[in-house]
Amino acid sequence: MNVIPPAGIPAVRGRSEPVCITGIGAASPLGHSFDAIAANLLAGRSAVRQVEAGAYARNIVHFAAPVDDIPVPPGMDPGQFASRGRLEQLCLGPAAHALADAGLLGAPPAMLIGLVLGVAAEHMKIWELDFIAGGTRVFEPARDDRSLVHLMRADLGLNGPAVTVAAACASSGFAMALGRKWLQAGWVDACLVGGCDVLSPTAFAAFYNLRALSRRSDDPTLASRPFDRDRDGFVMGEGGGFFVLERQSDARRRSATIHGELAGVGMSSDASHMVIPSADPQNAAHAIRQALADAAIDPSEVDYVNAHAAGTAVGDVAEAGAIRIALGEAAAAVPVSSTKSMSGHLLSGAAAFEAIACLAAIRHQAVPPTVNLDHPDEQCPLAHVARTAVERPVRVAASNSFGFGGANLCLVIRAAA
Amino acid sequence: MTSADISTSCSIVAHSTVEASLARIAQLRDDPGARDAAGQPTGPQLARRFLRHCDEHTVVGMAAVLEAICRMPGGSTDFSRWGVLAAPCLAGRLMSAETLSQLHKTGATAVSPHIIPQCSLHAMASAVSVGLGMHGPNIGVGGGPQAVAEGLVTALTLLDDPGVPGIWLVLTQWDEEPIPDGEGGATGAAVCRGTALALMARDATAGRSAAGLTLSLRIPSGPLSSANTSATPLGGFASALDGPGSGGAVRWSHACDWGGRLEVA
Repeated sequence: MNVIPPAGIPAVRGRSEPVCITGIGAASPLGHSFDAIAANLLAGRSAVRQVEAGAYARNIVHFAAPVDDIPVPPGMDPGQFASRGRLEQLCLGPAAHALADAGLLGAPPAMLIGLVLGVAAEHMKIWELDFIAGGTRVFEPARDDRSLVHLMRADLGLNGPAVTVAAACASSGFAMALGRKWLQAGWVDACLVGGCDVLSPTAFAAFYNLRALSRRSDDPTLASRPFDRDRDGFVMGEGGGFFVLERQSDARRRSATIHGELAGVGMSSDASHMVIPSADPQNAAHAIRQALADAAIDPSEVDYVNAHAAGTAVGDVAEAGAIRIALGEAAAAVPVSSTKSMSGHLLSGAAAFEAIACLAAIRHQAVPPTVNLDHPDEQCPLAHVARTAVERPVRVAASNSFGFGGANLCLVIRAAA
Repeated sequence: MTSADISTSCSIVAHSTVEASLARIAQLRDDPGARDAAGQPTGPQLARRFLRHCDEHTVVGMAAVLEAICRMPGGSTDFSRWGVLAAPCLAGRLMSAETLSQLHKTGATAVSPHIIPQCSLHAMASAVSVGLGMHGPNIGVGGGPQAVAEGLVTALTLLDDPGVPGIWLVLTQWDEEPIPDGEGGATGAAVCRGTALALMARDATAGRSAAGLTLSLRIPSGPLSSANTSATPLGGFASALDGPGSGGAVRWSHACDWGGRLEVA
C-alpha cells in the first residue's frame, strides 16, 4: 500500500490570525436553528423515519431522514422561494440565515464577501428532479447556462469570489476549508461556506445497489448504528448547513457574535479506490494530524471527535484506526461519537452539519451520543459516547469527513477565545 | 474591505491539451496513456480497465494529465504528495440521461452503482488521484459554465501548503455539448477538450526548467465592478497556453464577475 511519505507536518505558509464562525444557518432533519439542532442531538433523538421514496425507489427504500419545511430566507417572498428547485431551496435558505445570523445579510457593498459552495452533484440532481417532474432538461444542454453558486451569489447580494467544490460526502467541509484559506490570504473580508444535499430516487437506488444503505427496515430509528457490531450500512438524509467565516479582528471590530474558531484543517487522499474506503488508515490519520498541527494543538487537548462514521462495515473500522493513529495514547480517553446515528448521512451537507454538532458540544459543554451503539464493534476500540450525551468540558472538537474517491478531511473547531 | 491590491501567482510547470470525439474517447478509455512518435507507450500507465466506468470528461482529462506528465521538465517527478483539482463543465450528462431513461423503463434496480462515484463533480479529481497515486487533496471544482475560472482561482488557493508540492489542475469542456440519446451515447459531432496543468508555487520551481508560464490572480482594492458573467471557454485558454508569447507578455486574461482578474503570462 502506497501511503504519504513520512514528511512530517510542515506549518502552513502564511498562516495568519484566527478565522472565526460568526454566522450559522441550517436546514436539517433535526431542525433548522442552532438551538433546535443542539437540543435534538444532545437528547439523542433520531430523525430517521418512514418515507415515501417516490415512484422510482419505493420498492427498495423505506426510510431516511428528510427535511420538512425548508426555512424561507429572511426577506424573501415565500411564494417565490417555493418556485425554486429543492436543491436551491436547501442551499439558499440556510445560507441566507447564516448571513442574517452574522448581521451581514445585505452587507455594505464595500465589504467583500465570498461564497464557497460544497455540493457534490448539482447538475445530476437538477437533471433528475426535473426528469421526475416530467421535464427533459438533461437532454437540453442549452438550459444549463448558470450554476447554483452564481445564482446564490446574485440572490444573496454577495460581491466576492464564488466557487463550487466537491469531495463527495466531505464536500461542505472542503468548502469550509477553502473559505478559511481565502480569509487567511486576505482575498475576502468574510466568506459564506457550506453545503447541502437532497434526497433523490437515483441516489437511493445507486447507494442501495452498491449495498451501502442499511436494509434494517423493521424500525427506522434503529437503522443508523455507526460503530455497532450489527451495523449494515448508512441511512440517507438531506440538508446541511452554512457558516459565515471572518478573521477574528474583523469580527471583533464590528462586535459580531463569535460562535467558535475554525482553528485547523487537514486534507489528504487515500489514492486507493473510487468507492471503497482504504482499509489502510494512514492517509486519513494524516489528515487528522495535519488539522491538529494547523490548529497548533496536541492530541491530548482534543475534547471531542465527531466521527464521519456512517455505519458501513469497512469505513467505520478504517476511521477508528485513523483516530487511534492520529491521537496516539490520547485516543483512549477522547470521547468519540457519530451524529449520523441521529441525523442520517447528509452526503454533501454532512460535514457542515457535523460542524454544527461540534459547536453544539462546545456551547453546551456536552458530547452528543452515537445512538443505537448497543454493542460496540471490537474492531472500533474508541472512547465511545454511546446512547446518551455526556456532560464534560469541550473546548476543542475535531470533525472527520471522508468521501468517495478517497477524500479525507478533518476540521478542528475551537471555542471562541 | 481589503485595503490594497492583492496578487497571487504560481508557475505552470507543464501543460497539455487533448481533444477527443466520442469515438476517440472510446479508444482512450482503454488506453489513455501517452505514446511516442513510434506509437510506443511512454510515461505512466494506468491499471488495465481503470477508466471503464468513468465519465467522458474523466477519460479526456486523464489523457491530458498523462500527456502533461511526459512534458514535465527536469526528469521524473514524485507526484505522491501532489493534490488534484478537476473542473469539468457539465460532466455526467450522457450517463445521467441513460440512468434516468433506465429508471423510467425498468425501475430502481437498473440504476448503476457507478453513477454517483463516477459522474459526480469529484469524480475526475478522484480518478486522477487514485489512478496515479496522489495523496494530496483531491477536489472537484466548478461543474458549470464558469468551471475554468473557478478551477484556476481554487488552484491558486491551495498552493500555500508546503505539504503539497504541486497541484494538478484538470479542466474539461465539450466544444459543443452532446445531445444524449438516452442509451449512453449522443447525437452530434461532440468533441471533449481536456487541459491539464501542473502547478507549483513560484518559489518551489527554482532550478526547474519550467514551461515558462505564470498563472496569476489580482484582486483590486476599492470598489469592485461586476464584469464577465459569461461562460469561460476552455478552447481559448488552451490555445493561449500553446500560442506564441515571450517576455512575460499576457497570453490570456479573464475578468471574473467579482472583480478579480486571472492572467496567464
